[in-house]
Amino acid sequence: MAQKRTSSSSRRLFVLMVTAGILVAGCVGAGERARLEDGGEVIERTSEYERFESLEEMAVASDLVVLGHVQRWAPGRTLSGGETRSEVVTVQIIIDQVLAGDARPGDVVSFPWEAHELRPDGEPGRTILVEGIRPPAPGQELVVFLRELPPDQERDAVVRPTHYVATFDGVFTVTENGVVRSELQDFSEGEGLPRLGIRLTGLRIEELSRQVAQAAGS
Amino acid sequence: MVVAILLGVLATAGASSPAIAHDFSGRYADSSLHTWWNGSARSYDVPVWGPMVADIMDNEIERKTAVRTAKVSYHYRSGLRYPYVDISWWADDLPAPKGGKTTCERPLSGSACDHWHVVFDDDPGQPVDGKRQKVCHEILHTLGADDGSNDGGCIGGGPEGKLNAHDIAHINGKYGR
Ligand SMILES: [Zn+2]
Ligand SMILES: [Zn+2]
Repeated sequence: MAQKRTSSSSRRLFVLMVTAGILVAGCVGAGERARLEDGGEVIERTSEYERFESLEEMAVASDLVVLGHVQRWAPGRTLSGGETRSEVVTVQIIIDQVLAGDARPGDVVSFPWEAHELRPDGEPGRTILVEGIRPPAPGQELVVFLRELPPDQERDAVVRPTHYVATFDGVFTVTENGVVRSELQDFSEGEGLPRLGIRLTGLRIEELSRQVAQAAGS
Repeated sequence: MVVAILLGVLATAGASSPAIAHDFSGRYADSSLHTWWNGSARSYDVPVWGPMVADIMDNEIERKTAVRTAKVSYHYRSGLRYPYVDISWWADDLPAPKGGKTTCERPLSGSACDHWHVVFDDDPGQPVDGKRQKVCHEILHTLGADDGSNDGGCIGGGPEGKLNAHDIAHINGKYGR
């Protein structure tokens, strides 16, 4: 199950340059092809985040758990403390269903997400994969475990988010047949337990909803 | 084999918490010489984080493992075999969920990395000990460590920013001769 990072964007670029693109399909694995197909270069990043052992713990540690779809990326802010610059967008989602917390279907909630690098000309550069997770794209259906944004955070954002993602274990895409799927990279390599997000992958939304409601009510 | 035995012992010792293993299956450094420099665009980061980065590179990595470290004064130099400095670090006010981040900026074929960007979350309220742990933790990511263990040391939650036997066994297993 472990998703191995077999090749790299710079190698891909090198291959592209050397072969003028002719041999690309033969030189990259299926995962790499998928990445090329669904839009541009990516860069991989580890990020620290709070881990949970169970869905119940994660639900209890969240203020709001919703099923919704991404309405748009509102402007957020730029990170420019070092060698490269990147853009933090405010991901706005319209709620379709509240699994736990105080909100209603149709409400818009938002959270910050470092989505991509900024090139020197200010245009978006490589897409940032945080722990394997792509920035939630407009139109995408997702389940997300959120916390209210503390007043001292994201003060410089153009559109200040209402919430933040409680943990990367609690970000799921929803498949057409109503099953949740985590994009988290699995580093367990067959030893020990995979991360919680990965363990919950494959659960039907009704079942996830039932378990979250149970945890929130306990 | 020694590593496997050692890890087995540690896993048993840490049996009170659920067994969440970590491994060195992330991207690893391109050689056992790990160079670093300060890539901060904000001068006030340097006195806060700089001494801690130096401390971890000198007193944890260099002194306790098979990896050699060196502070350099270049970002790129074409005359060297590994032309990019291995680690460029800085601090920033990162979006929540708060925490340091490590990015392989120049991936090499296979699963090595030529050049890492390590960014610490700039939290003025953070005590010095907490910072040291964060620095050590992020630097271990640049040597290939993955998150997941909870047995102390720099990867498994610290808290004091010191390598434990588990960390050292992984690093030497990867870079030892
Ligand atoms: Zn750099
Ligand atoms: Zn980490």
